[in-house]
Amino acid sequence: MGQATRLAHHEATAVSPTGPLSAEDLAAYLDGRLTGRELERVEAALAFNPDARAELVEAARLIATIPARADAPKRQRILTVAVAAAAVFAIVLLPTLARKPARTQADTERRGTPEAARIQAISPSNGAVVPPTEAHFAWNSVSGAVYQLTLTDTNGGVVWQTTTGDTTLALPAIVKLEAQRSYYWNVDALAANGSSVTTGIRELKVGAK
Amino acid sequence: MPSWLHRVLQFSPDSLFSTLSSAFQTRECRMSQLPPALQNLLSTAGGPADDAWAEFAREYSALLLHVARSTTRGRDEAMDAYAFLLERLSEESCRRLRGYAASPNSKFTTWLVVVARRICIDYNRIKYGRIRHSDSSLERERLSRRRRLEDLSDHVENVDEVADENGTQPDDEVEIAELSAELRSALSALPPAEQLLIRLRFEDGLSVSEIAQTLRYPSQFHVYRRINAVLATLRTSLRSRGFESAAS
Repeated sequence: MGQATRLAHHEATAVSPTGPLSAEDLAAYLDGRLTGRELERVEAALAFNPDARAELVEAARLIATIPARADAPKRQRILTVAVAAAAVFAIVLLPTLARKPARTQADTERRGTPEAARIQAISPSNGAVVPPTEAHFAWNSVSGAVYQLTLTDTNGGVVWQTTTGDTTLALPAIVKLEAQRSYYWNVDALAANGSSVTTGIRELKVGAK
Repeated sequence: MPSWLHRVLQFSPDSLFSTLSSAFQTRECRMSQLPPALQNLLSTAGGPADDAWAEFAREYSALLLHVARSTTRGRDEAMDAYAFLLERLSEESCRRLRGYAASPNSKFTTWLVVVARRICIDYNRIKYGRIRHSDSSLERERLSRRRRLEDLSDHVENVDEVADENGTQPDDEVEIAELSAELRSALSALPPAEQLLIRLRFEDGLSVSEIAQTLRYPSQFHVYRRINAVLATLRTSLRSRGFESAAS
């Protein structure tokens, strides 16, 4: 790592809980990339410091209003292709899909509002291989939500299920995963407004001992 | 002996090779996650090539101009700030951009907006001197007290009205001071996320739609629900501290 990079990295990490936030922290917070203690630290700094809050608000406003790039012709072509694809979808596939059973009430409740239909699972990535004795789960937060993590084997048997207010969990030592087997996990969030959102089912592979 | 040197000396050649290759792969992985224009810019050893810099500037000019315009007044000012911005981003072989590339933990455009805005504010400070915040701070404090008091209870609203008049009664002043102290105490006991929400709404005076945009709530409705839940917690806390009418 060169001197310049070291200096920049230092700027990014040397942050006191009540001091000014680094650009990296603020950007990660705006993107919803922070979890656990990092998230709490940044939220506490923002709550404490009105100038940091003002910067947060202004940055969020700027991001929401970033103009499209000046390569309009390329975008126009993409838009044309998208419209054409949508037309094909409507003519060819929609009648087929329309014959499928209607979504049940339970499905609708489960899915919640369209924009909040999923929580983004952060780790392990789908299909990732983890050691038999060590699995750490992380997902993006849903404001004010309580989370339930469920780990099942390939037959659907629940291996571990727990509830937390945090967005990270480590597999407890008492839960033994068999080496070289697959498991499935998902996190459901019960949001403050009563709706439920999920990460969806994700696969986890256990490596050799 | 420094601890890092001690660790290096403990390495066997195999483990050292493994560690170095792992570090190299991590760096490669990070580089591959970067936007192409940034990756191309930073891949040049000994400083960016002119064409790579031109490509980067072209790719992000709309974003950088957007930030420059938002922090200045008038076209000429915006263009000056934009030039300053490019100069700062390119200095020391793109030190800031390399800093992002070393540990990217957000989308590049999000990071660039935050950094570009800070640079533009530096530009304004250099040109016009530090902006005085005293007036805005006073206004913020006045707004803060009023909004907090308005929303907590009828009892508090009554006190607020009295407080706004000239010739406030000594008992009212004491009551306001006590309530403010209890409110601050109850607020500081909340989780950071809830404190942030309440302060954005009642100290900074943000609209619910602005809060939804800033904190990425799915809708304004979600913000209202969350604020109401936190206010209920605060009322309960005040009730437990003896402010019965505030909690009604």
